[in-house]
Amino acid sequence: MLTEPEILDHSCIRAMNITKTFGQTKAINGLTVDISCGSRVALLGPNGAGKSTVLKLLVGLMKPDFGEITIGGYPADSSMEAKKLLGYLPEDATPYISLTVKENLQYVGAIRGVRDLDSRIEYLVSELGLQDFLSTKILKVSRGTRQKVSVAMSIIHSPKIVLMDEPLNYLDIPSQENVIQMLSQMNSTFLISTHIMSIAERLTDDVIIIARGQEIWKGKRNELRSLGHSDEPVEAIVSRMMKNVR
Amino acid sequence: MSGKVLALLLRSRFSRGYLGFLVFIAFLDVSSFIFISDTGLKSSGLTYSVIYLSVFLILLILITVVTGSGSPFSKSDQDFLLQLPIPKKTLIYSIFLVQFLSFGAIFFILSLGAVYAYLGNPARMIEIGLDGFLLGFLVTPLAISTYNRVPSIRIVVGVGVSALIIVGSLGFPYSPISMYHGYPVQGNVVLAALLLVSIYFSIVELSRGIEPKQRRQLSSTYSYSINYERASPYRAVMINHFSVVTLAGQGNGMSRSGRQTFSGRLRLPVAVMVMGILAAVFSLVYILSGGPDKSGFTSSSGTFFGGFGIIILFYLNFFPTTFFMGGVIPFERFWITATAFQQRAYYLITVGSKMLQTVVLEAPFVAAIIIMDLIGYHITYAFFIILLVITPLYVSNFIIFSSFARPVQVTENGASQGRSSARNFIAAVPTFVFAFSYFLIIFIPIASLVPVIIFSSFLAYSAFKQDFWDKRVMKLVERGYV
Repeated sequence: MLTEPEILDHSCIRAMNITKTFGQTKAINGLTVDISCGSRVALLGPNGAGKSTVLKLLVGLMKPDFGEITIGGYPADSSMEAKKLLGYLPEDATPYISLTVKENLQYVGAIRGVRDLDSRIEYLVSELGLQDFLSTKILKVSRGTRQKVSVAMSIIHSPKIVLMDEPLNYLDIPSQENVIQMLSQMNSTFLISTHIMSIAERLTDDVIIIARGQEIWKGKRNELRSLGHSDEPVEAIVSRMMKNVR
Repeated sequence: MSGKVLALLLRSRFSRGYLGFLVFIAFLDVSSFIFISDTGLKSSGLTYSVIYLSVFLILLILITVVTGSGSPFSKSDQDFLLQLPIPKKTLIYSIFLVQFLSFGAIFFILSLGAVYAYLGNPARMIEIGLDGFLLGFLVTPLAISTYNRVPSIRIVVGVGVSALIIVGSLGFPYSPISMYHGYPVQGNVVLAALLLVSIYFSIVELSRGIEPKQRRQLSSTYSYSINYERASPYRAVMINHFSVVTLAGQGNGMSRSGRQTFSGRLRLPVAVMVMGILAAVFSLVYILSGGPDKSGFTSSSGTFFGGFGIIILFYLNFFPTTFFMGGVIPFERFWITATAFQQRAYYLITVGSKMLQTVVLEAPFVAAIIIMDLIGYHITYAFFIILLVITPLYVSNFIIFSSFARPVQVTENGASQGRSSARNFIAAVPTFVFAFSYFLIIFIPIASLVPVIIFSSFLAYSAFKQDFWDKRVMKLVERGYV
């Protein structure tokens, strides 16, 4: 596993000219992503832009047809080291329904080799307000609670690199706030896929906008604002940019 | 890995309820297998059986891969285990192999039994397929009548059709199955009448067009009604099976262009009509070709009742069958996989234009039917299954579904209320039955030739290549096996 100084020498997430095709559809078309360690980046794009596919490729759950992907300098799809560095929250993640909330966290935490697992679980449960559900099977909890458990499972090992696909899905407003607060305290590299601008504004500093599997804009969040009129909402700016590529 | 983690690992794949269900299925299947062993066609060649089975298994795996978009892990991104730093080999050994073996073994036993008894007898499969067509045709008006919002009408039609089916098996000449009992003309007349009833109900249904916006609302309601994760395995299987056709009928799981081409409201009735006509044509051909007495076919009330056993046992057996098909699919993703698979299959069925593809897609599901048909063919056992095991299950499930079934209503603000699983439950029956029939009539006879061709080719190849066996034996000797 890479130590922190070693990681800082690399781009934490690097995907060079990647292409991924599903049948006749080119989901990702020559996309390059280079995210330095410590960055917090939002991946924006319309439905079907390829955001989730990008994350799956970065996590190594899929292989690109062309191009190379490295995580902390390790090949994404074949390296155990890359997987150790990563924490990934899939869209619509479902913890194991026949296990309780606590067992889910114990399970993933134990396999991840988390030291002092009990106190880590205690911290996450407290931050996410899951105390009342510790002994409840996932089968019996709400979708929002499942999402909170999924978030906890994805970061239980305090990953150096966090990839999240719509992390605030299904969460009520207080829970959203809890998650945002907790993630903000983490000293990790973040790539968060979302189509909700407020999430991007609260959790990230940089923005990558993709459409049809290609990058259409990249830069700081405040630079994005400067592309529009002074009173123009950022959503309107992003929407205009996306429309231009349709 | 500690015992605690290992225990969690296994529990994340199997629930207690599911294991209980599996034991029950295993009991049924092993019982049937023992029965098959006692009464089956023992002259069948074992080598041929093994080759046939191999081809069949390869086909299943191919279908799994194809329908899973090239990945054996459906929704792999949603399973946390796959993103953990565990070597895939370890993961496969520790979990997926266990899964694969536990479910695959049952299916394997069943397949072996089926092949053993049915080997080289495609005519019997065709015959059963025709029975399936007949059954499907009979339940068509019943299914369509379930779209009627008035429960009393549904009950009257349901009971009427059921009674018509039953009295036929008792020798009453004016029944759809009279054609099997020495009254081919009367049987056909009744079939034609039922076809007209089907068409009438379909036209009534077609004339009730609804606005596209409301249709979308309905679709979301149907999606909502499929809550597999909270359902018991058996009930979930039922929900899954009987909702999917209607889902396809409402446009879910289809491309945008598909929805535009095939209006959601039209699709199911049209498909039912097409299948009804096909059933009639098949029946007519069957009769014209000499009927059951002259053609050598052996249709009887036993096979007819066996047909019921097949259909219902199919649902019980669907679970391990599909699990085998996707042997490495994590348990909690099973429902989603099955749904995706079936949506694709039933989309093809309902558009009615790619029948052969449908047959291929249906293969793993319908494989269970062949096996259950094997049971159904033996009258005594079929009665045992139906009377002692299946009927209570069927009835209890129907009651469960009916208890929460309310017609879907779209309110003024567009919100939809109510669930309609019971209607889906009935409405899907004919489509399933017809799908099984296609498989039995078209696919199995063709597929049964495949191993023959392969085996013959192999023999021919080895005959011309004189050193074929020498080389292989030498290798075995070199490696110390001989």
